[in-house]
Amino acid sequence: MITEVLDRIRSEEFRGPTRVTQAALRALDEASRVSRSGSPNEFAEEQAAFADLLVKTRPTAILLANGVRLVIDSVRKGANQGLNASALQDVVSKTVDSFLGEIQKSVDQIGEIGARRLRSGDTVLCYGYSTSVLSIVEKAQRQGKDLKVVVCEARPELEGRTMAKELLKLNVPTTMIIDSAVSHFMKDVDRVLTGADAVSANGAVINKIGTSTIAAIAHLSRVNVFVAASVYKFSPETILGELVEIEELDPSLVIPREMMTQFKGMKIRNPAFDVTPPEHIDLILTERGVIPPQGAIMILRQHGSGALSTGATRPLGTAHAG
Amino acid sequence: MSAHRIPPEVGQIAEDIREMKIRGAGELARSAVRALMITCERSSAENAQDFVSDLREAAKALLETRPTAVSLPNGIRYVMHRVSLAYQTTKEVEQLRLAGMKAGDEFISNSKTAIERIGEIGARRIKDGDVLMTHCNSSAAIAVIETAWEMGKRIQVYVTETRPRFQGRITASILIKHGIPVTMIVDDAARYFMKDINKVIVGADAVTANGAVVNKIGTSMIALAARESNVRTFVAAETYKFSPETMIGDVVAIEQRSTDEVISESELGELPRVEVKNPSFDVTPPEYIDLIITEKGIIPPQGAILVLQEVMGTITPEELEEYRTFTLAEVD
Repeated sequence: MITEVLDRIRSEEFRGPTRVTQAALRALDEASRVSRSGSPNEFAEEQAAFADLLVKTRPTAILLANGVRLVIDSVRKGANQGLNASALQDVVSKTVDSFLGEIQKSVDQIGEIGARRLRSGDTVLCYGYSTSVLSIVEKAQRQGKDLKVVVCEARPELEGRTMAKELLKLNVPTTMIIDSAVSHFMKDVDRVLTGADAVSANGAVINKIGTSTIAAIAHLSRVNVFVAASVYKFSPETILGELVEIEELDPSLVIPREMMTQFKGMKIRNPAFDVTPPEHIDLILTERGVIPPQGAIMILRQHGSGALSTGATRPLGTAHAG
Repeated sequence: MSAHRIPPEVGQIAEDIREMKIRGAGELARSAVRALMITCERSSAENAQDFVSDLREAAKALLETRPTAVSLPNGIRYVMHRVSLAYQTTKEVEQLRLAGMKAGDEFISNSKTAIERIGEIGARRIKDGDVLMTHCNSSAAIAVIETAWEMGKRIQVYVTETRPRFQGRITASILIKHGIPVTMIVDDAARYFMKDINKVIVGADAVTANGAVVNKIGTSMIALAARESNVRTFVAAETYKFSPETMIGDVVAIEQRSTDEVISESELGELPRVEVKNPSFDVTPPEYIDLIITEKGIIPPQGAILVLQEVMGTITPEELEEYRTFTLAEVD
């Protein structure tokens, strides 16, 4: 069952870190209910081991790491207080529920706050799949603002298509372009809106590969770049000098497996994310309000330092960026 | 002034260009020029005026074939200009025939050696150990890379796949045949890897009077990422890619290609009301380009106007107006 869950989370079924985290935490909750471990400590360690596997499926998704960390922290605390396995299962369920509730609330709040920064008539360029960006567009529509959205397909996984489907449900006029055409269309764009997989201590944003190029073009074209990111996406480890790991995806997403033989000796690199420097970001929209990217450290001080001091899960490995 | 004056071979060439059986900027221009040479050879005109109007008619038929690359009208103008210069000094049909044939010969042999010369000149600017990045599939850019490799420079090349038609795969397979180490990446990853790159080298579909380069969609993003990372961007372009129309204010139109290159019709069916846009080229401003490598030597992009003046000779504004096209075609 565990492999099945991990495969599902790894698969393309879940787009964007928010949906991944929701699925992973539900899986953690389910796993705790079927756990046969006897002693509280065994239970806690079994949960921690599964949590570790979950985090490793998406090492760049800080939201997932932070959520898992909360759950495992409370389970360990409970175990130390002498709660039995069934009481610990309740702790898992409660923590998962409350965290998922927090996430949902943050998506709504980011939507409200972000929508205020869009004007009627704006053409918004969206990149990658982002639950928060969808929430912003939805709230702006509800505020009666007329928006147009340009959505990039987002090679190689093409999650732009999923994004386009969701945008259609909101009845927003949507245009799809290939990623390479961003520069060509930037003169028609008023705002760039993206989500984030992680935000580092210096305000750099780790997001879908290609984001940093779009932000650079937007910056040069005097188009504002807004990043929607819950405070749970800020990476506390980066305060301690750790870098956010950039996963590399399956090379067959770039060259289909059946074509590989034609390219003997060729290397394929397929990083899933890149790093957008803070100087190309105008603001980060969090559920606590709008901050300049350089304010990331403030969010981490207020919010993330507690998680850091417990040192519960260490989701971050060696890295290339940050 | 009747259509029967166009020899059937010329009609066939025009048809092949229209049906895209003849492709690639160099081949397009050479075929059109060859067609003009056939017209020169076969024309049964008895006086100079009829001879020129035969040629002019063939030229028109070739220009109308399809939205075309900059190279085709350049080839035609090259020949027509020289014939009309000859016309000013002689009214002998045989002299004009000779002038047309000679001009056509010159253009074809120049364009054939252009790629080789660009390879030699450009390769001098590549250093041993350089890591290069290229986009799409350009024979001029490949010539530079291959020549540098043959000179014994140990280089590596990052090739972008080049959505939507993946011409990067063609480039990759040519380079790996030479044993050059190649890494394939998605276009979106160009900036991610830019810190490992020493030089970006791309081809051009057109170069404008102000030194902007029109090339495969995505080129301008890569050039921007390079500039931002203090990496040099070289453009390899034969002089017949320079667009004299831009000297008289025309802009190079960007062709919009079929949406099924981006998303299949069935998948698009699941996204009703989503509009798909698929421009084939974009414009890289001169300030992102460090130099343009032509067969006549290296120029800064701002020197494009010099190339246009020199190579086009003294083409008259009337000639420019007469033999021009508006839309840039796909060039693989």
